[in-house]
Amino acid sequence: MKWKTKKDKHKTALTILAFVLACLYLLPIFWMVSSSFKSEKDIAAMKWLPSKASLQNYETIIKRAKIGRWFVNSVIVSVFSTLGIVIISLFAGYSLGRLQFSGKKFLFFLTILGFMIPFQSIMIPLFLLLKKMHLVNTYGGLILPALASPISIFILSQYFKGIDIEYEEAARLDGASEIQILFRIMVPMAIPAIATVLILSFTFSWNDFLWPLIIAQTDNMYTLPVGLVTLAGSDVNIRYGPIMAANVIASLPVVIVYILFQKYLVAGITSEGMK
Amino acid sequence: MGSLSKKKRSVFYGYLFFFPFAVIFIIFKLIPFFQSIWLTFNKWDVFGPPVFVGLANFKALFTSPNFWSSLWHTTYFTLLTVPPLVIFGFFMAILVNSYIHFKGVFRSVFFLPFIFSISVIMLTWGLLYNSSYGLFNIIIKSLGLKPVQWLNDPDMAMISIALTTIWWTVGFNFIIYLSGLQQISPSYYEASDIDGASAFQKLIYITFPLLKRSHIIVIILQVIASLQIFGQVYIMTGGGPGGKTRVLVQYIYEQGFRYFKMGYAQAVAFVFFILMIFISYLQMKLMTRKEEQL
Repeated sequence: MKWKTKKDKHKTALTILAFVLACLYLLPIFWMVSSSFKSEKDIAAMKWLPSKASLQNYETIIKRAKIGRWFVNSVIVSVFSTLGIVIISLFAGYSLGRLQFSGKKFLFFLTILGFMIPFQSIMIPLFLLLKKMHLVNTYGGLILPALASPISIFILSQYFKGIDIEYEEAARLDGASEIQILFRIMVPMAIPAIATVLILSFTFSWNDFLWPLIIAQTDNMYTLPVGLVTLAGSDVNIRYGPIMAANVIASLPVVIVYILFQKYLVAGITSEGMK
Repeated sequence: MGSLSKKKRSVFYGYLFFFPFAVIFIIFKLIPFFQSIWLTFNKWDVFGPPVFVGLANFKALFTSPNFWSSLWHTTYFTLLTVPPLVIFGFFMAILVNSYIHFKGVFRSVFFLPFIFSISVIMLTWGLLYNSSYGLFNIIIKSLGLKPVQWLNDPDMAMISIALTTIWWTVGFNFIIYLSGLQQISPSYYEASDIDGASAFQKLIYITFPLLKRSHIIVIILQVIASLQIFGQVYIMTGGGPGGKTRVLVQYIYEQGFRYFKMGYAQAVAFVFFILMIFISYLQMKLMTRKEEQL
């Protein structure tokens, strides 16, 4: 048996401190989940846990609101935005990261320009443009403007740059086309970077609020974040319990994605920091 | 493509592969950007044709009390949130990176709120802030103190919104600091151990200056993020009570999409754009100058 050294005690004390902080930190999430199982009586009585766990709130919210429809909309928008971003950024990232050609510097500059324009400063003309294109209140309107993602291009082109040239040259000698090099050589080697782009885009798209608020105009086209808010504001019969149930439903997919792909999300945040 | 030389092939595919991005980027970013400048000189309610009004929109906004108050609210929110978000992010990273058990678990927990959607967070905190049966007032009452009117008190509302935002987004800065900490070579600490430095001295003289790059990234990104405040206010207070929390982006949104004053709203958005560019430039300049001095 090992003797407890001073350092070990230190470690235990710091762990306890972190544990207490973590509990306080999770309190709002605990409150949301616990309230979703409470009756209105329990909420008004300020109970910490439901006196009897019931799925009543979930039933109410699914029956009364179009939450199923919003869920499907969110899935459609997030999945297609994410796939679109990955495909477009794979090609552009390969172009900027691996190919040598004149004018590349200008294309790089164009991509950086994307960072400089905040979305809020162009949301009005963007809306007017989509109105002209008859894309207001459509999936196209929700998805298309999101597809140009400079950050994804940076992540991928940086990763491609780091891949050893030998693999590419060997494939070239075998007469591989540019497309084959991209998809047979580069893509399998760049899986971590692709996963990062994937999860970063998915989380962003799933949680986006401002653009769907502008472009989705009837409750058939709302995504979850917009639907939830209108729900809380419009229907006075829907109380806190059902709203917390809706919150839990809306959060489950991102929480699952987070648990599965955490590592890549963290890598994404770090690389966003490094742009 | 066998007949093409390697160089020509590279040029051809270089542009071809960049093309899809360029198309989307030009249509949905560059064109709206140039249109946004044109729009500021027009009066347009979307239903009729636009009317050229010169600089009238800018004149109107600079004399509008609502413009100035929303500019101030955005500034106030930024001042309230940036220092705690940077400082807490830093200390949380120090704690998790220190000599403790379950590092991975704590990292996941402290980052967790950031992945929730803005609506979920704001609706949940709306319940927490509820003046009669919210969790915070339960705790305050049990301590024998007077309950706080979190979102209904005009002086408290923005502070409440700031508190929620700090809790929600500090995980982002925490992660950037944490990855910065993990890049510091242990040899620095070993050397200072030999010199008998205390933990506090190590923090001040080694860790803090070595994280310079992380400080720059965190501060710049945080200021930009805070200036873009919109959803939190829109969902929790709608700009109230009494317009006391209406922020700049919300002002743009309301003028454009509620009152259909497209030209005027875009003039405000243009001021917002200039402000963002100016502040980003200023920060880069200040921070890189500091870097040269060190």
